[in-house]
Amino acid sequence: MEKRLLFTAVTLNHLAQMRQFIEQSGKALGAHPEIVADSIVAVNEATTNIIIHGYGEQLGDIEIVVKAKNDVFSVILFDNAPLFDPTHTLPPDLTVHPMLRKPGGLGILMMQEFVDHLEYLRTPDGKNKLIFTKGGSHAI
Amino acid sequence: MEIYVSQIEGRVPVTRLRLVGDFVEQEPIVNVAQKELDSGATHILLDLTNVPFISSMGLRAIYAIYEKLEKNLGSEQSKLHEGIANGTYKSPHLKLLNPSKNSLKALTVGGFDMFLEILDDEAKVKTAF
Repeated sequence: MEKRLLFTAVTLNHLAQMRQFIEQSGKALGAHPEIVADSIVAVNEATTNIIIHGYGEQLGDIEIVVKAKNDVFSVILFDNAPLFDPTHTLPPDLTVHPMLRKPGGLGILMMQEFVDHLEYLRTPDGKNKLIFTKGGSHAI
Repeated sequence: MEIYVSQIEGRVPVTRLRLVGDFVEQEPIVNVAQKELDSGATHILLDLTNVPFISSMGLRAIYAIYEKLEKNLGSEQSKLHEGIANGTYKSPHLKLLNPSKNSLKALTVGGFDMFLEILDDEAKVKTAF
């Protein structure tokens, strides 16, 4: 079962609508509210980055697909921004006190910490595809 | 994101920066904070009561404000490092108020709760600084 919605000409003002769509879809698909809530934190970070860094001054689209099956909850993002694989970014060293860490890596940390699995793919038609999965064996 | 500036009179004057909306940009709030620092602000309260979400950009903004404050005020480095080493250090100049559940998740994952006091009650602000 899945829900799908295309957000066009996205700006930061769309973030709340995107979160609402994921929350309502998760509820409709019977996903656990806590799993949905954590996933939204991770996805919100990614959508923010796509809008600010990916599209920059341009207006682009983000398609969100929400899936739930057998306690596994997934959110998939598609965008047309320049190809970028965030999973290749190094997260900060959590063994070092936050005040003494090298700057950077907070974005990927936010995306990885709240889901069980984060995967990046390039679609055959040249889009970025980012898959957030939480719960179960991480595969739908 | 909207930013409202006000003053709180307590043991020390506190500049309250009240944010409304998603905290997903760095520049606007850092610019406002810099303006307040230039005007002599020494203690800042970031009021997050009306912030549904904080992204990594928001976390970077908070860290930038923290750094500017400590640099401006010339915090004693030996005490600071001692506090970090034994896990007791909290910034005396920057504190956060009322983050949402989701904002708190971001702050905790980023380790910001390790050096910034997070207040959950406005009544505690005057005595917290």
